[in-house]
Amino acid sequence: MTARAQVGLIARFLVRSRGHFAFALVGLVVGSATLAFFLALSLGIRERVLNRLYPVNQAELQIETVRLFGLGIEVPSRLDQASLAALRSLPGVTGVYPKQRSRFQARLWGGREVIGHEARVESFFDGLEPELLGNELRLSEAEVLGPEMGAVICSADADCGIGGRCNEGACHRRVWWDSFRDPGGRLPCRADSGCLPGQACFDGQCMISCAEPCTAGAACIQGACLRTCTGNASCDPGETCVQAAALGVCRRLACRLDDPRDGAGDDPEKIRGRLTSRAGMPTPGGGERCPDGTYCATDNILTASGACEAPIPVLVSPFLLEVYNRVAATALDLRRLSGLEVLLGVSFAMLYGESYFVADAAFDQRTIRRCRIVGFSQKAMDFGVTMPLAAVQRANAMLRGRDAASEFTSVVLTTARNEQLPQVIEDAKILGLVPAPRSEDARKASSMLLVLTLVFALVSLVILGISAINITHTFLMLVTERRIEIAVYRAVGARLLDVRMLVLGEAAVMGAIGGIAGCAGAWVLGRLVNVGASRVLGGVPGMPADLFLFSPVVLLVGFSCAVLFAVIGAWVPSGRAARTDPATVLTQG
Amino acid sequence: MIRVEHLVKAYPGQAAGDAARVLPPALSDVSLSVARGEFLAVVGRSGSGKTTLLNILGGLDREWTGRVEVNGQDLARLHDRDLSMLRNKTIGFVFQAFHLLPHLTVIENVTLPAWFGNQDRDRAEAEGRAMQALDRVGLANRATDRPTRLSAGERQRVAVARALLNRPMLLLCDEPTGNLDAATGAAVLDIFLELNRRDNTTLVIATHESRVSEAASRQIVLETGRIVEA
Ligand SMILES: Nc1ncnc2c1ncn2[C@@H]1O[C@H](COP(=O)(O)OP(=O)(O)O)[C@@H](O)[C@H]1O
Ligand SMILES: [Mg+2]
Repeated sequence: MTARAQVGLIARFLVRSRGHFAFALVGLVVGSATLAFFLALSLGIRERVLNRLYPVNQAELQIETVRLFGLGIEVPSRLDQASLAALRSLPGVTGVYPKQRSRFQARLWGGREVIGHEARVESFFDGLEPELLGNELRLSEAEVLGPEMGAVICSADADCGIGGRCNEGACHRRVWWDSFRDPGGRLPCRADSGCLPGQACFDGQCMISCAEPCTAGAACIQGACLRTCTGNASCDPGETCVQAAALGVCRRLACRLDDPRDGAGDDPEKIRGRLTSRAGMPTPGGGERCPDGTYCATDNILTASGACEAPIPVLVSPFLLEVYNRVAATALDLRRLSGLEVLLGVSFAMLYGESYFVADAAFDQRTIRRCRIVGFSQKAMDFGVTMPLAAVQRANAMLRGRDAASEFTSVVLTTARNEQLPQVIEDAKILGLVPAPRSEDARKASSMLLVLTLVFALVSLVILGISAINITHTFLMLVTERRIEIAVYRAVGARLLDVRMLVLGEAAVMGAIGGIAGCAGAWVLGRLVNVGASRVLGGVPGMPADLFLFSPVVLLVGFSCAVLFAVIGAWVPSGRAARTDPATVLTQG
Repeated sequence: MIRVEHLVKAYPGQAAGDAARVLPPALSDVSLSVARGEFLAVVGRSGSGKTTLLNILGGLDREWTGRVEVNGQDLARLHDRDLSMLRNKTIGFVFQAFHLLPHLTVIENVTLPAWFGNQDRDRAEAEGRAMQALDRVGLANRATDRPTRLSAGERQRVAVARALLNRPMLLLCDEPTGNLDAATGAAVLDIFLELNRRDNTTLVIATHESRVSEAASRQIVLETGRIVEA
């Protein structure tokens, strides 16, 4: 029997017996809908809430806080390069991402363009390695700003609105996520102890010494390793590619402000200062300012001289926006922010060394650095901003010296597989490291979610199982009802397999119909729940707009379970159908 | 065309159990052969084993002992797949109770064997052959009717047309006129005779009507499962 004939016969069968199938079909629809619904919900929460805190194969560890009244033995440990190396060597660990907090007082101001008022607050910040975020920034950015490439056809950038770019005839919106990386910067110093580990102080600036051979892509010029380059594009912003010893190397551009106080102002032109000559570098043309996208970062607030640097890209937590809207905006009568997207690109200034809470540092220790918000992440600090790790290390070194810059606050470990994580956490205890509270909570929530998902998946499978039993009954009845028909098929040449496949095929088609209807139903229900949830939980920080993730896998599972259970249900009846004895059926009665 | 040697068929409960109360098997030690183009009538009283013999010859019944060959193929050794193909291509069945499917039209009923062929022949071609077959039984004008709207004689003619669709070499008919009145039965018999004469189709017809057995080229008589007269 050919496939086409089979499809034709199955279609006839189904149409003829549709009344019988209605009940069994309801079970399949409900079962696959339940399955798809809860899988999508669980996946959505895992992907959009939990994994943004800590993916299942990650844990954040920190130094065990010493309990004052506890009986535990105090382990005087430091989380430094040595501990990181030890963590890297643990079996199962695939990634070690240290974090470091700011270790000095700082204030920030800015935000006039979005809140209508210049905010001045105490500033806390931490640094993490951009790789830790993976694709997350890109995804969360796409959620608030839409896809990177729009459908708008354009011929010039002007056609694409503010921030848009016209590329190959289509508008691309401004992309932020790729700018969350260390933009580089000058670390002024008086001695080697004010530099990062592995760096030395050269002419008041920290550089990697060539006492050890330079790494690939760097060349030893006058005792310091400098990155080699072919043009300005291969250097950090604020650097320029200059010829030295027949090689192109990156040198940071030196600059001067007209007045040291300009550094604290907000005149974009004045902040960019003027380029000045420096030993070993060609003298720039008179009056040139720091390149586009950079400003003149001075060594401290007393001096006008510094180097061109790009603003530090920072991330904020969605929670911060929520707190601002809920508390600050109401109390201080400031403009409420509609969404995270208005914060993208907002610049502010950070004044290292000053505080509303504690005494300020000496004047020559206070430094102004510029920042710009480039994204949101649940992994960002709740109260404060999060920078690329290197920027925090430079700041800590600048104000607190090398020791402060080489000790980390916590470390995120990733393992290849989730199951390896508990053992890795156990092993790390020897190093005096324990899971950070948030990491623990995330893991607990994750396990809970897993259990709930399993329970609901089980419930759906039970529903599907019941409909399979129902299908068995329906088909047994139908096979008996159709025994003459089946016997005639056998008499005119149907094989045993043909008969069996007719019944199973019928069940599979029913399962497919039920599966499609179920998945569609689950999706519609998901939309409704989203609407309801946004009414009830709309204000909860970090609550995604869409709680569900109907991934192809979820839909496939929902669909194939319906088909599978229908086929399982029809298995016994199909055997019964094949065993129909044409001789008896056709020649008696 | 057909060779049967020492065929024994016992239904469950027959030829077993207490020796004193043994029921005779439905067929015991039946041997016969039918040549290509012959018209064989199988006669005998009700319960003599005619239907059982035809079911075995047609491969509908596989539970027996002995040797049965149809068109040179040993039925006992055929796989279900090949036996089904034999039923589909070489054998045509006509039953006393017609067994047309009520939810299909006349033409669809006649086309049915084409559905179970092993190659995807053109649907139009199959319907063309079905129309030819209907034409032979004189019912081309009823093609789109439901079988329920036909008379008994017409239904049996449709059943004959269905059996003819794949131009079988062998037609097995189990009391084809048993449910028909004399006139319509005669018309159906005429169709069989013409098939036999024109197409050289081998006919094996089980009957207890003398009119049919007289038209046959040869007849065998069954009595409680044995051939008593050949
Ligand atoms: N399915 C069956 N189960 C048990 N006995 C049967 C069955 N079919 C026929 N028989 C018995 O086999 C014998 C032959 O029956 P059958 O071949 O139908 O005879 P006929 O067609 O000549 O009337 C009878 O005794 C009948 O009772
Ligand atoms: Mg009979």
